[in-house]
Amino acid sequence: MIRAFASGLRVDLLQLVRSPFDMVGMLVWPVVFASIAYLLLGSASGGRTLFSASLGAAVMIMWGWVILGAGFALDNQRELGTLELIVGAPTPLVVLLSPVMIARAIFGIYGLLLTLAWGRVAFGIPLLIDDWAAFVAAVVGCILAIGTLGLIAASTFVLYRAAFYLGVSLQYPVYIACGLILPFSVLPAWLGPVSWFLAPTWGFRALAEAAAGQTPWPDIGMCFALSVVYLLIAIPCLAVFEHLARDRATLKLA
Amino acid sequence: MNSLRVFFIGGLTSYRALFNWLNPWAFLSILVAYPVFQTIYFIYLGRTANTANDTFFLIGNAFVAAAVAGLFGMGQSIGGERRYQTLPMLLASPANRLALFLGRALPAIVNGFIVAVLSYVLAAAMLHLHVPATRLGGIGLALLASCFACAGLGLCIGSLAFRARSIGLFADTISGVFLIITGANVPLDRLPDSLQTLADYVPLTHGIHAARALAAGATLGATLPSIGTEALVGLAYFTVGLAMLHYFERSARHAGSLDRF
Amino acid sequence: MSAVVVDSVSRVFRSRQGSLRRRVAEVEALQDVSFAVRPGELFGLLGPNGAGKTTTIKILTTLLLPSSGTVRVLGFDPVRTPNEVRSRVGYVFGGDRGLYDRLSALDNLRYFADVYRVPARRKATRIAELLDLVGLKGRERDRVETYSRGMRQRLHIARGLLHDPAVIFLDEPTIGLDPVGARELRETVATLRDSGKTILLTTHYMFEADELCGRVAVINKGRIVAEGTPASLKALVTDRTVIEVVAFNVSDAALTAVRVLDGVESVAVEADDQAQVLSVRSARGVALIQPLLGALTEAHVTSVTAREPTLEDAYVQLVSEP
Repeated sequence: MIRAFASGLRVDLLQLVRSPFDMVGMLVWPVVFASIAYLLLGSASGGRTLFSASLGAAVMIMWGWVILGAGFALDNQRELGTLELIVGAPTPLVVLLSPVMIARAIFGIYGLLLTLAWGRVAFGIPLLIDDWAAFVAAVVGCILAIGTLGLIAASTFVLYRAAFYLGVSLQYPVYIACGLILPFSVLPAWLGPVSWFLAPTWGFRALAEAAAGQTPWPDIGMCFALSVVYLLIAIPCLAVFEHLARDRATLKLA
Repeated sequence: MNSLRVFFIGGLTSYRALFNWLNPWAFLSILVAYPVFQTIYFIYLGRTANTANDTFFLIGNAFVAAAVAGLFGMGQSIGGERRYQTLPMLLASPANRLALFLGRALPAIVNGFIVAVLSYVLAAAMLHLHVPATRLGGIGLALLASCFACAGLGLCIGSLAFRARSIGLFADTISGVFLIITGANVPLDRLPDSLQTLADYVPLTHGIHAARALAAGATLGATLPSIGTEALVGLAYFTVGLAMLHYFERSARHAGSLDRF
Repeated sequence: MSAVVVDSVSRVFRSRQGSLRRRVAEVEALQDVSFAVRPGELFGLLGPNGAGKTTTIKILTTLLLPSSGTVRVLGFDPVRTPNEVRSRVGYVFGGDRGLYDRLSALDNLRYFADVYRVPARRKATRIAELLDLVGLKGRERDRVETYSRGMRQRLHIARGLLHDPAVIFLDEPTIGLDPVGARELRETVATLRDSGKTILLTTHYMFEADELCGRVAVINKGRIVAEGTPASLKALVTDRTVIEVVAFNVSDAALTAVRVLDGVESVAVEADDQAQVLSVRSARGVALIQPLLGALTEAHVTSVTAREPTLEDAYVQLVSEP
């Protein structure tokens, strides 16, 4: 199963890298989000605030790529005719679909680097990372947590093609609920507890706290813990949705 | 008569054929929920930054929502023909080219208008924001001009289908950039001079400016120059788009590459 | 024990139609289908488009659940124990789809080898063997998007055999291939049959079934209408003669006149370049030739032959019956 996971990760990363559409498209949104944050928050904010905003933008990108990528990837598999082949394989579907999410979350590193580089080059925002070891651990935790949350969404896409559209509409609600670039003081109070269950919340906190040299390890721990929880939810979801897809014949487009 | 039929009925038929948006899930998610939550996000970001009032972001993002519908709509109306390999059939037909391609603009403009209104009204309702009723007619006119302009730019993007496979990439890039350079979320005076100059030549900028002025109490007469400029921008893009279509079609016929579409 | 058992299987598809007032439409893709495939047999499932061949294969390969009935593949139930079936069967379908275009053939095979749990120590050897078997050695590092249709199809077969399955399902594997490519593929299939694999092949090319299959079932509109060896199916029509007429400019009126001739049971029309080939089946034998030519006076007839019926004639009769 580890071999199948690693193999799937390699296949997905290769496909992403060889798609000019994906590679060029991925340049735009990190620049857009980061620029809006810098231009709005502007010179009145300190370097630490702006750097934190850029981390928030990076996490936004990562979530967007995972949730959109999940839908596109499954649609692509349907079009290629390979979705049926992987469902028809003896390896559990969770092992075969999770690389799709993790590959896109890994590309979030590219988004993070691009966001930070853009901030440095275009707006003069310095790179302010005090605890590099914790920062790297935070990146890994963020990728796992967001990737596995995307896997739950992907389980619905196996059954419903329309679930992809739901994924599209979930981008901004998650940005808002997790307070990405937004302090919780401007958000409704009831969103606070909602945010505790969402990976981007802890991913962003872990990155920001590691960068600020504060106490990121509880947040990093939450990322890993949530990854396990999401996986435990995704496994039965995938089994149920796969069964329903086989019953309703929705594995194939036509 | 045939040209009118191609314009109205053909335009609507091709719009239906190439769009997923008549799928209610797709429409509700991509053209309603997404822009509504995008608007709410930027309103909150605006409150964080304390740069402008909520109406600033409400109007700006409603106009961007119209742009998404127009850019993708028009872009897909030609790009989609390439994907389904029906483009050679269309080009081999005797149908009037203006009617054939401009007919697709009408549903895109109407769709953009509806999407923008829904985004504006729903976001305002969710955040309990007041919508000034007295100026709605003028704001609607500004929005219409912007939808027209976006459809024109969408036509230019769509004509690239003769050369590029992924029209969605262009539309997606432009819709992202529009969040910034049109003044939708960032006051124009915060942008570098070069971008401020560029802003004058892209759809949405003048329409947004007019709509914000109307919402702040300006009269329709005072904003007509901006609305007129927006319409002229649209006319310019339509002209360029039709010229691009004509050029690409001719060069494809010259090179014998139409069947590759 | 049979390798594949299908017992009274039905499958109903439900779809919603209309946009404002939605109504549920039901299509019975399979109705009470039963057949069995012996170990080591190459069994053919023939039928026109939409007959239910692919639906049957998808049920057998665990991709679709039957609405009723029972299925066993090597003794396992594809509904309740899908993974037991999946690790023992291979599935190859025709056409361009089913491969990652941006990757090389080798990358595709390596990935599917891992997915189908080919032991790590066997993987490289197995891939090399299969590339050799399907004639793609030397092209394995090229991206699949550069492959011709025939090459893709051969790669499909290699993919389907990676885990050395005991049962192989081939769903119209030669569709869209040129004659040379199709013949090479049939030779590969014959080799697999001779090596002892159990194969279920769906096709609507009769000569293919005639050439390869030990037994054949004909499915039409979701029902099995006949089953037996190719010879026994041909025997259904041996009391008939088929008169083949090659002609140009055969009008609809002339065709109607032919169909109503005394003794004509069926008329199949095929286009052959610019000519039309009429296959007229009748018990009257060569006595039909004169009235037939009389009905075709306005057409330009270039040849008339009378022949023994083939499996295709039996098939046409079976699927034409209401």
